[in-house]
Amino acid sequence: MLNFIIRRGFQTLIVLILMSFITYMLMGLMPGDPLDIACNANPKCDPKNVVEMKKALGLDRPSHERFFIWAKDALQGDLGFSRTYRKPVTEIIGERLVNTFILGSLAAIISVFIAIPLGIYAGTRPRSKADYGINFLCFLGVSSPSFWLALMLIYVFAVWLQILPAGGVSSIQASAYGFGPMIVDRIVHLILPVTALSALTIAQWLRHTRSSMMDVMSQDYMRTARAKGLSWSQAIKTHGVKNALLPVVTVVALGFSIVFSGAVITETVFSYQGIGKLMYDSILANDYNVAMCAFVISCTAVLMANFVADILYGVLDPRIKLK
Amino acid sequence: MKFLSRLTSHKPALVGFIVICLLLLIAFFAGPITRLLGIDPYSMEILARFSPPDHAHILGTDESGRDFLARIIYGAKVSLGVAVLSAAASVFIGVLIGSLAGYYGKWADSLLMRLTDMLLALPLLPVMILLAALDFSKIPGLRIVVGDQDTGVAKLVFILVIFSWMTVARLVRGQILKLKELEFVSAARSLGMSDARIIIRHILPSVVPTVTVAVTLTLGQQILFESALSFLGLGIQPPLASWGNMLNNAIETLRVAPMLVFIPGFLILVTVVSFNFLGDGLEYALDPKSNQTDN
Repeated sequence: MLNFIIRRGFQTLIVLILMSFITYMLMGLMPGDPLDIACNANPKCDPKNVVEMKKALGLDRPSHERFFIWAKDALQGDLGFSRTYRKPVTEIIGERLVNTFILGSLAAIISVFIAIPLGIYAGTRPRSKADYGINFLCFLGVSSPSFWLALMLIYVFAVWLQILPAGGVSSIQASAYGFGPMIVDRIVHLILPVTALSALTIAQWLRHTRSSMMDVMSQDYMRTARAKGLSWSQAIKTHGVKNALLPVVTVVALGFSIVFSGAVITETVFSYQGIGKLMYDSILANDYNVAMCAFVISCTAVLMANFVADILYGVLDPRIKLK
Repeated sequence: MKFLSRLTSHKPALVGFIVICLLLLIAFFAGPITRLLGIDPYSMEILARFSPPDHAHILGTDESGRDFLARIIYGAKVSLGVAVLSAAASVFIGVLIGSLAGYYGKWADSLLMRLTDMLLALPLLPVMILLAALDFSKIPGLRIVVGDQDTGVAKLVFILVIFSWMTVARLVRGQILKLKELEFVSAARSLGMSDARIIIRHILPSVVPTVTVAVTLTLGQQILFESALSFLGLGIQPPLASWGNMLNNAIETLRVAPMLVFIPGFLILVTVVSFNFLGDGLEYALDPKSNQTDN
């Protein structure tokens, strides 16, 4: 087991390093060079200065050399300076990470609490009316474009009913009224983004739970449990649910990938200041240091989630031998 | 035809199939249909922005005064076209790589598996956004992909293919690993058949069912990714219409003309649901073991 963890961890590390290297090289292929843009915007700027400037900043060196300089600085905690925010990247990223963490974990928790009970309910009653209804809603959830769902939520609750804000993280003067109202204000701003983000994960996790539960229901040990005198609900509670949830745990751990992928869209539609929107904005604005950092952080989070999912898979189910 | 009767007994799949056929017809005949209706997706009337539905414009006009119905029809062409093209290309690449890895094994196999593991582990949307933001004409080998006028179509198909060939490759590889040790393959080899012929004639036909299901489900995914990237302004570039980029300015449009936001998204939803239903039905019809009408 330990052997497996070490090897898998090593693999994850290699993928991460390769990923950052490739990303760094790709960033150089974006349209527009930040220094050229800065120079074109300033009539007093002489193209000769740009050449000197690039030399001074080491930008004239080949990009693979620059990657190692960047990586060395990044490991020492220096992530560079943002061109558009005019701040060190480290100062921007922290708050954004916290915002995405709040949004993502709320969406994940809510999804688990809705998807798993409903999945068990539907899976234990296959081909009932409730099962068909739940299954149909799942199909809709998996198939709907998340940005459109977000837009529809904005239309219904912010434009039409006008009971929830259309976007943002908090109201401008929220902190002026004290701690309590500030928290309420944050929560009010989170309702729509969390709903939009959880729709997909609820649908996917529900389908997994349902099919896993249906699988378990037809197993011999369930018949044995009934035969030895357990009631239907007791058999499900003591033998069914535990076995059915085994594969679901990995799916949920893998769901982090969906949350991070989905966060880009959800955060952009709701102008929610998280890491996904930061990444999108900085890529569009040629703000390489920020884009690089946001991207590597997103990838790390997803790779870590995959790593944890793999380990959980082996820990929870002793039948699986990991090599 | 047991397969057909099983497929048609799966009601959602039947509905999905009909909807997809209708949409494909509309997409294929987009030009003739719009000409027949006397509408044009590109002509702008700046004075007639957001005009409500009337005789000239059946669904009204968009933020540049272009006929909305015409844009929906041309959007179908682009959205479905991108999905079909990228699915076709990913099947081709997937079958090729999957057969090579499965049949020749060893380092080719482990390289393929590492690569698919790596690609499957990435957060897809952020990576796609990064790739879509690149200037392909700066990359020597890829300049031909985008050509002179960058409409975004070729670039988008290229990006979608990078991340969608793995499922097919894995399915093909698994099947080949299972079959290549069997007697009929050794028999074919002892008769002097070439490797390529053994793969194409004897092994690939048995993967067709699973690959068909995978491709149907992939098509839905491709439409979702295309629309998401186009919505973010990184996919199909205007003036070309796609269901995704028609929602580009949706946040502003939402307050003026909500129907303009509702319709394209709803069409994406209907199309993707149809593909998923069809994939589900195909899986059921092709799997002799399943005897339930759902799941």
